[in-house]
Amino acid sequence: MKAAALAGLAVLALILGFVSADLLRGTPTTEVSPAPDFELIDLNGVSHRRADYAGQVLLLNFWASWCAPCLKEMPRLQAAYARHQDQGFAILGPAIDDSADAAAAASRLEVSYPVSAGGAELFALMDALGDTLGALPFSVLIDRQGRIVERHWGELDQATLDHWLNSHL
Amino acid sequence: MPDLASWRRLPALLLLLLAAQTAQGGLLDGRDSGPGFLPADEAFVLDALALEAGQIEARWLIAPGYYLYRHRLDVTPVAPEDITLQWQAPAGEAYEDEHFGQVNIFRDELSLPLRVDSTAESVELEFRYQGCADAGLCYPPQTRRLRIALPAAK
Repeated sequence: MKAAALAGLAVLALILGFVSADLLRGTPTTEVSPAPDFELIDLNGVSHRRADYAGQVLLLNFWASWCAPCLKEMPRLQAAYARHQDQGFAILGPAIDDSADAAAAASRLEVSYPVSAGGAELFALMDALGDTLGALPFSVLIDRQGRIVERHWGELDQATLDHWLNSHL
Repeated sequence: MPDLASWRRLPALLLLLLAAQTAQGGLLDGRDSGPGFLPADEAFVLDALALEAGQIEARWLIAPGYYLYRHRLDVTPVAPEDITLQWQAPAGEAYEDEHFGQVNIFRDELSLPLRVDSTAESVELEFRYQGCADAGLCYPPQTRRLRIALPAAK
């Protein structure tokens, strides 16, 4: 009986912990929402619209050549892209940068997914995708149904990237 | 109804509750739990004032875990147009950046003395700076304009 009472209390504590964490933190859990339409013109002049990636899992990774953590995570993203491209995983890399700097960095890092470059219009797209900081890197995962299912501010580590791919690919 | 012994174990259960919260935070932090970083204006709080005629001090209060790049720092006069402005940034702290090599950065606080040659009542200066968070985030170059009242020369 004592053991049962203790077990009951433990379960209650865990439930309260999970419920209260969000309340205390004051931040929302993921709200799945439709991704806005967008068009990115990559450094080769090719257009990429959200609709072009219907049925695929699309990672939008905002970066810049002046952002060290962005450059640090890009080989990780490139490896995931190479490994999972056949499963319908795509990446677009809009850079808050000028074209020459973005192209040089992407080339040096041997990035093969499409990269584009821009300024204010990319910050506007970040806003539309749910950004609140205007800092980099900022990553958004759009699932096969065209919904935003993940957002991440700062360097995307391997564990988080793997978790995203396992959950959505 | 739990007996007295069970209630004695309540502190342990409360610890478990705390652990659950902490664990949940750790697991889900990367999953749209909010940015977890400060906005640029809170990470790098800039202010400037004239200490005496011709002497201005600009000061950045830099939040713990954030830093500014020395080579990204710049100050230029906006008005009056004929102003002469001289400044020299402190050396800062040496920092080995994986991608940018050896750079110098500022943490905690940066005081930047500025020498202004102007008889105007105030000057407007443009400050440009850029910084990052240790946790792996960088802010775009920031530009702020401040108008600073100048004391009259004695």
